[in-house]
Amino acid sequence: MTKPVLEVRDLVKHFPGNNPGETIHAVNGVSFDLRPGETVGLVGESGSGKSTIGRSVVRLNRPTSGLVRFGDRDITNIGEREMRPLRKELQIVFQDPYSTLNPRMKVGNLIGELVKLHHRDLTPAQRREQVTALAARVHLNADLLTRFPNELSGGQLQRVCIARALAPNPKVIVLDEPTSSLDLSVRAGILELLGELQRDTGVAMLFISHDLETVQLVSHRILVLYLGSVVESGPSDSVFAHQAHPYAQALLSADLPPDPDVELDRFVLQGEVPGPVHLPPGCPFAPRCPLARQDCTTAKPAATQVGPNHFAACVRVADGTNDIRKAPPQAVQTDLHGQYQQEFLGRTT
Amino acid sequence: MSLLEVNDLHTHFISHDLNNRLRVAKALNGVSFSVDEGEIIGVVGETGAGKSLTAMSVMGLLQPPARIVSGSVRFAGKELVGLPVESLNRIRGTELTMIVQSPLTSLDPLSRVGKQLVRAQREHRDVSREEAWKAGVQMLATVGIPDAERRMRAWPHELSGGMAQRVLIAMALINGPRLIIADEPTTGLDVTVQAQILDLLRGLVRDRGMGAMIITHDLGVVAHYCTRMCVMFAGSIVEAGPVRQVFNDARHPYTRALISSTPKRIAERGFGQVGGPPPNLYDLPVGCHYRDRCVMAEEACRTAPPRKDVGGDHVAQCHFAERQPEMATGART
Repeated sequence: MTKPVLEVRDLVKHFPGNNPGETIHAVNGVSFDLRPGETVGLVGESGSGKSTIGRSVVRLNRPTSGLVRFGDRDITNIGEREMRPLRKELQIVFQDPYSTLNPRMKVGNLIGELVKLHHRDLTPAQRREQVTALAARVHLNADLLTRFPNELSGGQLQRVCIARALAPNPKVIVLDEPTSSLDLSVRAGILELLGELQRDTGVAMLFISHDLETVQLVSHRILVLYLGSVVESGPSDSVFAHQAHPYAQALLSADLPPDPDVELDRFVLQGEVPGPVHLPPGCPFAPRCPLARQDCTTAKPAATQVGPNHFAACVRVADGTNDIRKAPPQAVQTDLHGQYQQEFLGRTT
Repeated sequence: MSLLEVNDLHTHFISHDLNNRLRVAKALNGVSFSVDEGEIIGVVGETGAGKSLTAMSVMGLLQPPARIVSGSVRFAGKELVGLPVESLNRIRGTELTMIVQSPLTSLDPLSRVGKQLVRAQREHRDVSREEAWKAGVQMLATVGIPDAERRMRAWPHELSGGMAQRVLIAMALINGPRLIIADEPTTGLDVTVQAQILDLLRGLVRDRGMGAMIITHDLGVVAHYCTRMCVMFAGSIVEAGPVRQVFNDARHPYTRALISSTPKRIAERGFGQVGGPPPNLYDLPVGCHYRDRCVMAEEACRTAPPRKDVGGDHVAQCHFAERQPEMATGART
């Protein structure tokens, strides 16, 4: 197996909270590898720490503890001056292309800026050539290079951002919800482009998204996050085919496939994700888990193998009682319909 | 008679440019649809297709320079276009209500949740503060807010996105509406919360025999929660019909392109045609607005496409609606 280009071990990132003395536990011990030519998908709901992990690995924030190794270098705690030359190999594309591009610069200069920063010995003519080549590579019409960002559509702007990320020939690109703000048909074009670029350059991608179907389409491996911890990880096909962790089961069952003929086998969870200030002891999912038992609240469960390269952090995996659909019946459904009839009309069904 | 009947609605943005010449953006170009009681209708389309504008036009919430230039909106038999604001206000908020996209910015940040719920009732009905408060508590419990009594005293900023959306739904329901228009009710909410909100909406529609219109760009929501759907493009409904029929036998090339660009279809059939820019609303192409992006465009498309009935309450606005789709979609081969 090829050597990982990026190794993350027990990554922890805490932020100071809004009130004095409070701590926001954004990421709590996340480990994964990223190999050349591979796409790893991070999925989870808001507040699960996806974006924080993405920012930690490109060192836009300083991890509280843990290890981030890029190639042979430990970049967890190195200073900005040492990080600078590595930045060209670790790029990031953000969700909202409108707010990431300087509105006063022309698109050609926005891409040229990156070329200039990372290839300092080029003549202006060579640089322009590079910019045109990059634009062609992201299928951006060359006429658009003389326009300002506000004249371009969301999809075109996201192509500009991808061209900027590609300019220094990176080894890793972190894509933080790159398609969430785009329309369906435009989104498909961007996903196609990303696949094409990965085939051509062998760049490794960390794809962050809350859209399960997009992640399934582009990722080789996925990590399911909940409250800053990985609850399940494994090859994309294997995780989507059979999830072992109760949260992963519920999350994937809540997905609505755009096909009316697909029978939904829904499992609706109670409540919402708790805030990351006071973490539940033990398994982070225990307070919402219909299968929680005594030992779930004492220690954080270790990752247990459930298939080739497929792990789930749940104590029930060991004895095979981890299927949420076999949970005690009263806890199974949030019966809002029945609740409504009971409370509003005063009758029971 | 349907609960809501929209007929040939045209909404334009009328303004002047720097040289004081008239500029008209034709944002809605003849939108017609109807919503029956007990039915959830889904409206899909890309950004700028006119989905939200349709809802705003129906609700009479347009602000200049937007203006309804022609067409009719009939709610329970009553014409809403041109109705004075006072008469409109007797209908909006009571019989006809709306849930908007961003729940946290739509609540009054300076009043507690309870006060807003009481205010919404006393604006329209002669109820005492105490009764209105009780009804508010009950309604919050109905929409699945735990500890409703305490939540009545909460400030909007203390609510999570899912909770705020529930409060908005409670406000929309508090006066017992007959039709509820939900503009992207679950965009920005987490998937597990989205399921809860949509289940709630569907349950209420079934129980109360209300009508509902869900505006979304998530085809999954339409596929599983709506009975009928309308596909919008450049301010027109290009295809409408029962959800299953439209998904399985789409007759407009835009609908087919839209459905084939969902990740699941891409995984099955590979990448199809890529979406292009939406047409310029200031200068719409003559004839079919989708012509420039369409794979099957021909000479005939330079004339306005007819609205063709392809059977079973399923219509498509295309010259070639009867043509077999296999020969047209590159994505399917």
